[in-house]
Amino acid sequence: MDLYPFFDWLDTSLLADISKAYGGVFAVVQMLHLLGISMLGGMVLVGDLRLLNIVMKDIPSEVVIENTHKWFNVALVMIIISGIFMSSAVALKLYYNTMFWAKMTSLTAGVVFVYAVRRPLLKFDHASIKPITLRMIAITSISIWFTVAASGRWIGFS
Amino acid sequence: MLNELLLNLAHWFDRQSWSTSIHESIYLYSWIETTHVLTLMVFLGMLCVIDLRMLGAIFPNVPASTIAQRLDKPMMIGFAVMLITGFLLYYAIPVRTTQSLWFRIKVVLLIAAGVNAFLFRAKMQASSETWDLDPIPPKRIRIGAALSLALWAGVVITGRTIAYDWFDCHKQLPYFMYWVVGCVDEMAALQ
Amino acid sequence: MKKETLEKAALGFAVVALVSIGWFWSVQIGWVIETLEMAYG
Repeated sequence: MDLYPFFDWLDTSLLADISKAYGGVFAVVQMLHLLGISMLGGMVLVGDLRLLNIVMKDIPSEVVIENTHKWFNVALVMIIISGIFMSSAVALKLYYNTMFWAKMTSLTAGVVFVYAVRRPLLKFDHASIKPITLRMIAITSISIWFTVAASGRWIGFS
Repeated sequence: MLNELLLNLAHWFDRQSWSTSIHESIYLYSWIETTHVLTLMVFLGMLCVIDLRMLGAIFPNVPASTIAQRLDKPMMIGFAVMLITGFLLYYAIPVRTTQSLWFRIKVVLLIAAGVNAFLFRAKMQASSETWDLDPIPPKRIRIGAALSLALWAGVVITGRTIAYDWFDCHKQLPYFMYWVVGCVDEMAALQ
Repeated sequence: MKKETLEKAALGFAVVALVSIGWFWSVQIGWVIETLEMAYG
């Protein structure tokens, strides 16, 4: 599926007019993107480090996962909306950028993993899940979101 | 005056070979900067959870002091990495950073956030028996948490805008702005 | 979905993800090393 038409449309859309013209607006939106990343990172790390038995060992892991998930959702929405806004400013450039596609791939993997696998599974009693599975989920989660963030930053350098 | 002092310090760092090495290296500056930005997920991430608890928005059934204590260590590890990478970024490009409006505001906000955190911890320790188990803490605690998040948001945005050259010394600025930003040579030329 | 299915899916996903991510970063590191060798010999 060739996404070029979409990126071409985005590059000349009203959104792009705004994001390209006003550097101050772009900077504020980018700040929201960064704050969203911080919130997402915090929620992911607290949950995963708990699954790995590294932090908050005296709080049941079900409670930790449940509480962090809600704000994970908030953060993800912030990130996606601000991300689309920023992408509109350099849409065609991004289309030809390998790191951008690495980021989109890992982001998609991350979203699928969280909503189709991790959350449904962790709704069950954690004691009934094999410990190795819990650890693999945590390590995979951290690795995916690290890759999204790192490849995202590296777009700026490529 | 303070501007001269800061600029002299910046020039001193600038003359050191390691400063130049980092600045001119192919990857090192980018890696340090990437670590700085990514570690936000650790430092600010932990702080986010703690402040959200203080706002009564997360972990309602866990004592607030427990959240703060359990996440303190990862948070401080993150903060240490932020400070080290932040200093290295300044050290690699000391003159421009010193004469950056946004960097100066960022440092002021950092200090304000630090003071707020210190006062906040003191307040929390003093009164925690009364509200620690409440899902929603008292107003003064919530204000402290909201202020904390606002100050750190300010640190993040000013950190990002350092890269823009809107108020750099080589631009045409009013005398007052030259003083705020510390453009010592440009101020002297105008006198 | 049944817990057992989800557990298998989680492990399968984890293996694929970790291998892919490992491959991706090795390629990046490879390019970095190549560039550094070209620059500094």
